[in-house]
Amino acid sequence: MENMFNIIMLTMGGTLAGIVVGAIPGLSATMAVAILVSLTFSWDIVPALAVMMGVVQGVNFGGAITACLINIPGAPSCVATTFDGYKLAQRGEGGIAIGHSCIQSFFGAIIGGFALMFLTPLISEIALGFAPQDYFLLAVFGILLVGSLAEGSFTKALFTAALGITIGLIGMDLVTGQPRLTFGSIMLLKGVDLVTAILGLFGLSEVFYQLYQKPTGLTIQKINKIIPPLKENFKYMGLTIRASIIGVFIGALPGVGGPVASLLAYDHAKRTVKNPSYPFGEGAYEGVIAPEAANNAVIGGAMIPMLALGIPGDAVAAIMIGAFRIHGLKPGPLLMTESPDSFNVLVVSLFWSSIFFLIFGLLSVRPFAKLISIPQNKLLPPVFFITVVGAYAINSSMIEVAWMFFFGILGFIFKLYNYPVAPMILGLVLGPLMDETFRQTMILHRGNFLSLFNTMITSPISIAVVVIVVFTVFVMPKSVSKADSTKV
Amino acid sequence: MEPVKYNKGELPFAIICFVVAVTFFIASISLKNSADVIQLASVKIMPLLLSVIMLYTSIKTIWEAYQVRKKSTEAVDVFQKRIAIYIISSIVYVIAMFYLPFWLSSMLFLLFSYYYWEAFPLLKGALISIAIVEITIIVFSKLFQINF
Repeated sequence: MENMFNIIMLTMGGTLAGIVVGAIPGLSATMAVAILVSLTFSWDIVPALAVMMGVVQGVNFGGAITACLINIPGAPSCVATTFDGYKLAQRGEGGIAIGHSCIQSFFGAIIGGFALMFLTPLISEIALGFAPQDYFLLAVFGILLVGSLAEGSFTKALFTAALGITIGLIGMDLVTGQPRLTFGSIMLLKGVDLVTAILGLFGLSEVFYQLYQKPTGLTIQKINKIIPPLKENFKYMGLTIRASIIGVFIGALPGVGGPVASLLAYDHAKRTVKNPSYPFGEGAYEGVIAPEAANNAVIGGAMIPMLALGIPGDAVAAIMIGAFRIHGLKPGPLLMTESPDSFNVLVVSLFWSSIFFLIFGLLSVRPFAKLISIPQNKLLPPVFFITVVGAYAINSSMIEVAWMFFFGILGFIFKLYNYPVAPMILGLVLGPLMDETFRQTMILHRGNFLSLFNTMITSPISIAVVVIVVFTVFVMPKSVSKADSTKV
Repeated sequence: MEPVKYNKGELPFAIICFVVAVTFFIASISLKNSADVIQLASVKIMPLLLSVIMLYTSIKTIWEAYQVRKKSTEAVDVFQKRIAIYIISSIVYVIAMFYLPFWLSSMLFLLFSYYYWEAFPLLKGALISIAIVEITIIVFSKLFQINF
């Protein structure tokens, strides 16, 4: 394993950078991790993962600062924090809201970390018995779920997912060795680089979109006292644990991420807390604690299917799969034996980054809050340039930069016309896996669906996968839309 | 009752998506199967399935956009000229990178961005652009071993 001191320092740097990114409206964890994946191209996988984990954790906490102080979630997973966080800040308790968010996020992250530590080896072991059709079902499940939960129309989400999978199939077919969907271009034979596409779709398109949106006057609420009384922290511990379990569970579902977890946790708090500190929607501490604990627990949860099955739990995990791939590693059940260091560093840096954001969050929230007021037109051009550098860093080639621009413009137009981009990334990541497992299944069963059906009803793993898929695809969107309607 | 707003670009963009779907459909059909691989595991099966999904969803989107247009009382255009010009300029920047040194094209584009988005006056913008490009190149080439 790499020098532990270096890992801790890199995690600290990543966490600090993450809080800065989270505290600036418009910059997201996906954008930051996408840039990092390309920039750390020349690094070893272990330090690269340490920085990325720090950034992801930092952004999640940093996002709560803007959610409480200006009513804009700095990260999508902080959307439910705005419901009560901003009301608290308007009442002069913004500091306490951030303090609660910081402390309960810490506990949420720790619970997520333990889930990651104990469940990943267990699921990896079970996954060794997965047949190709199980993987195929899980991949379809992830795409359907992210499509049904994406903002906007399901039809549009399905289109972007199908387009993402199709783009993922471009290049040389690994089974037959023949070119596929290359339109006669030699340049397309090696396929579309995943990291370049991610950088364009999540980095550049976001820059264009932020510049496109007219900057609005921000009213930043003041921060007074930050650290809440100790007994209050213990008082909310039960809710934190329950919300964290929701976060871990939602994170572990392929394709579902922080925003859904925070909404469900908020809904759970609203339904279970009989006597909140204030009514929900009017500045209840519980309305900040539950979503914040959940969205940090999601991080550990989302890493579980990524590491154990090779199926990302959310968009950030999908981007991290890109990091594994550029280092020649394939996340999945064999990762634990092929590269145990990658798993260890993710767990270690998750715990360390939780400690760091707790310290930074409680002691230096005021300077971070000042970042909110940096105007977008001053901030985004350098971000644009760093995105270009990131694309260039992949192969030291202008071709990748040109591809990144193509995806950036495509992503921007998608956003403009309400086509969700996350299903496309998931499609790009899962496309080759879906193709490979579908064809393996067909070859194994000689194209006979009856034989496939017989195998599936006699395999406990296949039955379990089918039950999970059907249950989640039908039940989850209803629960989320119900939770979403609870916002005030 | 709130007036139904129609987004002017929605229908043309849905039609572009349909054209993309048709292109992939034709490309999938024209893929040749290897003789020794069963039909359902052939190279064309997945692209064909996906292009059918894309065709269906794009037709549905066109239909939905058309319905909204029929009911709408007000048309809005989300695509602003200002961002369109910026995107075209960024394409020029990419082309310029093939002919000019990376640092020079980036510096000029950064300066243009600051000026275009009215972030800084020209001279201040130029100084900041030079500083950002130089610092980024020096730091990133050391920290991430990128050969500029």
